[in-house]
Amino acid sequence: MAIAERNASSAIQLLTVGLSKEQLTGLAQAFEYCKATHIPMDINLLGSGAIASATEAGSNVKPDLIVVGDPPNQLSLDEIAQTVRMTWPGVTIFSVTRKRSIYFRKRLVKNGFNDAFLYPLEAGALRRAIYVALNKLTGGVVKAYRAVRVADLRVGSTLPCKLAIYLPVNDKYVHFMNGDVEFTAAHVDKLKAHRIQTVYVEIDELASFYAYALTGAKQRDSAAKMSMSERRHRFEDAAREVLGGLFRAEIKLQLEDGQKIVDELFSIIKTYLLDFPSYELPQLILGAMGQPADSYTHPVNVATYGALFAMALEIGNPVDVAMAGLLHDLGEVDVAEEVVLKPVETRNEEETVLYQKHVQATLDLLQEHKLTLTGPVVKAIYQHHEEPEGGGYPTGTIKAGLSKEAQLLTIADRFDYATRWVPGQPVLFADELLDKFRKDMLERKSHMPADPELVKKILGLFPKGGT
Amino acid sequence: MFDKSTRVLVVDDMATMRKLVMKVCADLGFTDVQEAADGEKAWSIINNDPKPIGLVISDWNMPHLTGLDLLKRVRADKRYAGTPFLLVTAEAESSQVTDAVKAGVDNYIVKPFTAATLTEKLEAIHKKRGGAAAA
Repeated sequence: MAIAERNASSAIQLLTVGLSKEQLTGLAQAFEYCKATHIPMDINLLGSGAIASATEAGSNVKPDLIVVGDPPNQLSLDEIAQTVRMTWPGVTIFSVTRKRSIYFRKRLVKNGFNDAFLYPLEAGALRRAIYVALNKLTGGVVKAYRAVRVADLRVGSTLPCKLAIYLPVNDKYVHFMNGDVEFTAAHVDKLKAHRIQTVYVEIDELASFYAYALTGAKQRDSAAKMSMSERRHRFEDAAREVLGGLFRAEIKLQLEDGQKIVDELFSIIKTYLLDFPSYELPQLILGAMGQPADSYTHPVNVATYGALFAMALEIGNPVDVAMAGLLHDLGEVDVAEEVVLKPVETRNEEETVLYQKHVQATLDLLQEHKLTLTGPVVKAIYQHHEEPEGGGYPTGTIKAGLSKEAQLLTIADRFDYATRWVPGQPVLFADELLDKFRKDMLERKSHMPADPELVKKILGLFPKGGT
Repeated sequence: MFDKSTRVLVVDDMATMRKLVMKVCADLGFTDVQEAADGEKAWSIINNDPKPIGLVISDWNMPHLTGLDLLKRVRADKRYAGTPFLLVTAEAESSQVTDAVKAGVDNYIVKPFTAATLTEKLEAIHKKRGGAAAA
């Protein structure tokens, strides 16, 4: 039933079960469209049908959307999934857990959740999923968006869909231009003037945008198979599908399962990362820069940057760098979240030691899952925090002992950290982001995080001005 | 379909799931639904209750005595060997269903399930048994 058909008293009923205050705050904007009912994690309340006693209004409500938080220790998320699904068979139900040790997305979906999210890593994906759900529930009144590449827009062409822009300070999407209107140089100037490098398309218009963008890509290269935006989306979605199943170490995979995962990752890399016309190379890098850290953005970005650097410089194996990029930080699941989220310069000695263990933890996790990776991939993951002068970890290996793939992975990792958008920080142009990266890598007072000559070669890939 | 006066025993270590399944049974018209929190308690009810249990709906994964082991115990005792038995399995256990079939389960159902699915499974059991409850 669309929201227009609802009367004033029948707003979207969002039921949250057992979410923390921080999680509720983080999702507050999505809740603006909903009448939110919050109940503590007492799963017996759900099963007994005593929900009425837990609602604000004191009357029985049928939820439209349910978000379930972390279970108490005596309950399993599987059982909660089954209970909530059996209580509300047709409702959209999401799981949001902070406990990486119990997060196994495929299993939770099989047990009844529509989707499952690891918080805060997947806060962005959760927010998008809630908006998509609200979009369906309200018949399109609530909009759900996805970011698309400005590089996919062609001056002089007629856009088939509306465009929106995101205002980070207000945390809001605002209308930019209508569909079926010519995209002009004036629009480009307006975007540049406001330092906007990403525009947004409504989810239900995405297919028409992909078709439009592919037409443009084919005009430049008749062999193009998909636009940059579509390729990026599919890469992110595919990476999430595969990587989301790797956090739970208790799952004992067989050798063939591990091989299957590696094959899937290889196929994803080959299809979405390496199969593109050569002229797109700088655009692919520039297009990923300046975005907020979101969901699997970091491993996807590092894989993208690393592979593209390898291809552009003809150094190392791009596939190995990409594979290492996707997997290099998996071991962070074993590090306390508050340590992972802390900027490196603010960690104390104990926290630094704890964080540094993620390298070996990553390799241990990959071994547990029987992922049969090549030697260069394993070496790149192991060495991605090493430094040419021996000041890195875990072993302090100097440049002569570092593989090319490892060095590219190191640079790609730092490139993403230097060029991502951080909430609260000003939005920067590409040339400013590249300058930030240059200073981070070449103008340190102490140790060099990577080979300066390699860094300079990478900076040389970009046209002057970074455009 | 089973006679609605059939005594049903719902076995699950999770109270909420027990209540949910009992509610589904009540919605299907069953008027005499008992519960047990694990296999051992279920066996005690089967053994000691004056009115025979006419249908067991049991979870698989439980402490003390699993659903599969309860099934084996029921099938091994001549007094109760013919009791209709439905195992409730989670997705992760569905690959073990062959063990349950070998042990003599009448049918299984994967949770989460709806009342309609449970009805189908019970009707299948009832039909397979020639339309008469064993108890």
